[in-house]
Amino acid sequence: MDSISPEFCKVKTCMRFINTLRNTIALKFAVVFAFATVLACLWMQRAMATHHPKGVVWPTQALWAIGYGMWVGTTVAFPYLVCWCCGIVVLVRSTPRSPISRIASQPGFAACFAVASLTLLFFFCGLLRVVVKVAVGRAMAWNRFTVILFAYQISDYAGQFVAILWLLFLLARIWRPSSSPLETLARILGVLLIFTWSLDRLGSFLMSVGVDLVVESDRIQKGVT
Amino acid sequence: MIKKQRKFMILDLMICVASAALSVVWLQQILPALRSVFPYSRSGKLKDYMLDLANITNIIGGCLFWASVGVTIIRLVPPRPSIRRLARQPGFVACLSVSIAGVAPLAVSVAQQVGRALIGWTSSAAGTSIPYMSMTVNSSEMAGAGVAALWGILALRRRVRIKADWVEYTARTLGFAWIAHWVLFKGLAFVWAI
Repeated sequence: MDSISPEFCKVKTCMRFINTLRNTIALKFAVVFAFATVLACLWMQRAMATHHPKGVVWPTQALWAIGYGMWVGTTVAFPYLVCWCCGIVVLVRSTPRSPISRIASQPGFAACFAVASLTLLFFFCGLLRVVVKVAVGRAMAWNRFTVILFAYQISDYAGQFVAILWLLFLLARIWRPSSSPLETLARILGVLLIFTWSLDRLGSFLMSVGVDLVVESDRIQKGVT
Repeated sequence: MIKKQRKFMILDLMICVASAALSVVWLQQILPALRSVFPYSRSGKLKDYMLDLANITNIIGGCLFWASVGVTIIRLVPPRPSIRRLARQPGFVACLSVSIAGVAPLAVSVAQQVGRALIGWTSSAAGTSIPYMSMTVNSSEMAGAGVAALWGILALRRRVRIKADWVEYTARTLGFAWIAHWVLFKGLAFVWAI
């Protein structure tokens, strides 16, 4: 054999190192979560741009302001949680794993799978709509495009859906969590989704009570004057 | 496995009648709201017919919701399998999830309205009985997709209980109806948007 050049050795070592890194879960984890976070940023930006309360005058009610704050917080948080759920499903599918029937009994994965499948379903609905619109010959601005793709209200229902799913798991006594870090993370995401959904509902409730208070005080003032 | 097949009892009939009555009350409340939500002129265009169909789909959604609540109650009345077995049956899973998803916001809204009435507030943005009805409609929009996702998880577990009685078959039919309702609703919204 001829002697191998030192440059070739260096390249080979580099390639081996890259391959080792590529095969580690940590790198997959980082790549998938970075991608999910970027998607979530885009979604959150669209959500905040399209769902601001148009024509609503800021009432002086503290309750309304608190409710609005909660609503803004949850609007920011939901896209991240939903996209990270999708990321976990991708990671579970791509790493060495137990049989799918066993994984489906794990509450964290089941929650993430349900949320991810619903999100994908709605995403493809939006995509189909865009494709047909373009095919028909209707021009679409990029802003509108992203709104249609991402502004579906899946995030409003994700927490509720996870809560119902976990209730069914408990009723059927199939709550079998594993000790893997991904499953733990998935369960944490599920809990956060339920918590965020509760905050969202509470925020809506407080806003409606705040508006009621303003309307009632106006009515009383008009009645007095 | 269900050891004892459940027969149709007088209590089941009473629950069916009650859920039908609730559907009628719901229709009475929702029809004027739907008219105000979708104001349109009769121009004979396809768009108008689409809106008509969307209204009908909404109405069907409400009736399906109360039917699901009724079937869930019938399923929970003894004689019945254990809750553990029930929670593994696709029909019961579909009806229970739809019932919880619809009843929870309904209960919150009713409590809110009762609170308003007790305080003595009359003029408010949500002072009528329409909002909580529309909340139920909003929940029903997602119900079909939710049922499909739940059934997907049951299918992944590969432990779907096949043997069932008439209540379970009715519940499964309702589950399929929810999915069809969702597809129809989204399809109509899709066509209307184009």
